[in-house]
Amino acid sequence: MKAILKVLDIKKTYPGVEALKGVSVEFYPGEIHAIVGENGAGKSTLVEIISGSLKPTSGQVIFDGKELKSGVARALDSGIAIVHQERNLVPSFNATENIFLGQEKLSKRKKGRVQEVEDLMKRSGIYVDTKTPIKYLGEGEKQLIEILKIIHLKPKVMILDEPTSSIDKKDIERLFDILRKLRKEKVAIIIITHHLEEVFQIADRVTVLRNGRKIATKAIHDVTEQELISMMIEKNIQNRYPKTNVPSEKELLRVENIVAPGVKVDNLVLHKGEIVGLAGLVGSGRTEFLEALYGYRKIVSGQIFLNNERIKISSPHDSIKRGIYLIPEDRNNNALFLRSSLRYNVTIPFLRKFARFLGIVNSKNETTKTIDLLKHVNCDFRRINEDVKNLSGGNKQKVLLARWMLQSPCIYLLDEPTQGIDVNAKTEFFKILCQTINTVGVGVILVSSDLPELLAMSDRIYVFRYGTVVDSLERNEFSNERVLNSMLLTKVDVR
Amino acid sequence: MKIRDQNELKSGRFQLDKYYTFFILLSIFVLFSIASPMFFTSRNIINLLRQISMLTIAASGLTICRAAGELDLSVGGLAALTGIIVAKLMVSGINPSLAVLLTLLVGVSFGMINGLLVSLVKVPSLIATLGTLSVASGLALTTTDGKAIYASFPKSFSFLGTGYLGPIPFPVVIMSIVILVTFILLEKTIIGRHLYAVGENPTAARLAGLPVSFYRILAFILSSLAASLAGIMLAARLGSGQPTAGGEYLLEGLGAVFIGMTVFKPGQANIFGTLTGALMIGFITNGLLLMGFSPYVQDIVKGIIMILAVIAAVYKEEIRL
Repeated sequence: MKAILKVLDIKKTYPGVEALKGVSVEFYPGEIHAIVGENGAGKSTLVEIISGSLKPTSGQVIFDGKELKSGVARALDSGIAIVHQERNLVPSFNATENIFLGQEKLSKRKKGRVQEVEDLMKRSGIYVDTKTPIKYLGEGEKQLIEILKIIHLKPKVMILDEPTSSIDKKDIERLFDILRKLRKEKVAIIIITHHLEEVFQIADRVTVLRNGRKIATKAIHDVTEQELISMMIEKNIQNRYPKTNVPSEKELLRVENIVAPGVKVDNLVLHKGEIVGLAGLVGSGRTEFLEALYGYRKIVSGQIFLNNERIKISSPHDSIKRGIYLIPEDRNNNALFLRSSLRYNVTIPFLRKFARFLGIVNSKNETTKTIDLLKHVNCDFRRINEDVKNLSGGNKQKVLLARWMLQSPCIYLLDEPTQGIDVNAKTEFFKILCQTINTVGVGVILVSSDLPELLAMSDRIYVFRYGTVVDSLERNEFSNERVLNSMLLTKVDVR
Repeated sequence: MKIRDQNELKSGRFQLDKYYTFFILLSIFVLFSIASPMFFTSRNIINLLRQISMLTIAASGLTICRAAGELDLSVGGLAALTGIIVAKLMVSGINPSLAVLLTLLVGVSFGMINGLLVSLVKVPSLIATLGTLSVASGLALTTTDGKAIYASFPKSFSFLGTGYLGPIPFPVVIMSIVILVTFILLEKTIIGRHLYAVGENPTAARLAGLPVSFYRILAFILSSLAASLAGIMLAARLGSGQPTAGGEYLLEGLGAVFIGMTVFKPGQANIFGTLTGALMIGFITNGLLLMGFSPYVQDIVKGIIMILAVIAAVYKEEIRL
């Protein structure tokens, strides 16, 4: 079979960084080709170059035997379309309007468009709500609309950059069914993902990138998960989840009958030294529960006990005062000041510690302390004055850990802390977390959609569904099936 | 911690593009010095600094507001209004210091209203302050029927606008103090760090436990305070309360802030950047005047220079509104 798309010796250099150091790959029609690699391996850069939005420093993109110059419009015209990791939809438009966005020149009347979208849905088997403005729809549905939009262009090459990172299991299944269907129609599909089990589920071939270089392209039958991982990272990680925390019997936090918008939790306990996992689908109330505990979501009724003492939390300020710290899900938008330095990001909540006369910050003490903390979380302290935006996902997360170690932590609320972080950094994150748990004696509430991770790291798991806890399991009761069953199937009266 | 560690810190390579606006300023300076023999004389330079002193003071307030992520369009109207108020108070024979103090208090309350509108009522600052701009200029005009208030001000008051400290005009002294205070506030204190945090990412600031509304209100108060000070000094300088004076502080002040956002700390409003912007505006006004161009031409040139200055920063996505 002839390759529809080839990249030849692609190099991409940014000032000070070589993102791609000469990568060549071939893509065939009717093939799902996964690209895997750690954060910063160059996956996104590669597909941005293929889709025309980045210009390579050197090298060629050959499409259908001819060289393709860079430029998004040119790539689209040739039939190369990309679904970005971030949404590219207009929130106030409905699905139909979004699908036709930018193609108004086809000048169909509204009726014609509605009909066409219906045909498209029938043909592709993707059925979505076409009437509601998409801002009222779930993440999974939005993702499917993005895909519909791309399919509407009838692409020959379809690129998906981390399509599964923000949608739940059920929607992932739907997505994969659709991809299989497109494969039959001889579309070449390129998919970037962090989830190796997905690679084995869906891909025909897989390319491993590491540090801007291609390590290998393999047929999926010829590799194992363990081999892929060892190609992705320098060292072969035996234990991806180093759980070393020592839970105690001492109760740290008890929640009774908490009601907040989207959340109703009757009973939840966290002991000192423990990691308590919250399982559930996206939108099942886990994030909302953490926000309520953190004072970011108004608690309507109920009680919170910290060290057996009833506390009132009505703002993040209150919880921070008590050492309850949240690392939210979308760290770039909700936690970090990307255009400011590491030091700035670490100390911002606790500047009073370094205050002198008139609230002037003693920057020498601040720097010293920040360096200590960065060393502690194993982050390169020499980058202390660099902007956080230059850091990888793993390092960004370390900066946040360092921030919340600055002043006597008591409870960490972690919302998807390893999302978008590579395998190596995940392991390191948990190692540092467990160290902190053991030395400082904190408790952790961990929200994660990565079930293997949750099962490996938690001492107890509460399963959320429709805003309430529907099941709780002690570590000796852990099983994949039971958690999934509770997550997906428990009957709950939806209020 | 050993000192050695601190020396190992990556100090960041010297980045030329951080200073390129500053080089534009220098070239303008050199250009005018060549074009007009009267430009680079100590007399003209001192004169020039005095000309930009009130603008720079108003722009310092705008810098703080912008650091907190907000825009304050009401400064132009407020400068006129406070000029009128202080003149009227003076006419009524009140003690000059008390008059200045009362006027500044009016400014603070005005800023408080802006701040409350933006942070609690949640009107976008662009719209809220456009409204209060109109209210302030309207008030200045209705209370005076559009006519200037002339009075023979006490010497101690006129000194604010016309006095000298040795060879240095007193407005330049006040400007220097305002710049210094703003610098310390923004760059050295907790408040400054927090203001920038609120400006860069309000959600992250709130989740880090910072009182976001408080800082927004504070930013508007400081901005109004600076505009009021400029308005008072302008009245002292002109020797009268002019209901339309100070209008240019809005456009030129914002211009200075935006030019400033391209230099030293690209993407962030910063006081020395703002000073660079104000100087650029001052050089152009003064230089073109010396070369015999009409004031109308100055506006055209100022507009073009401002756009040219921010193009590079916009291109690198360092300036967003």
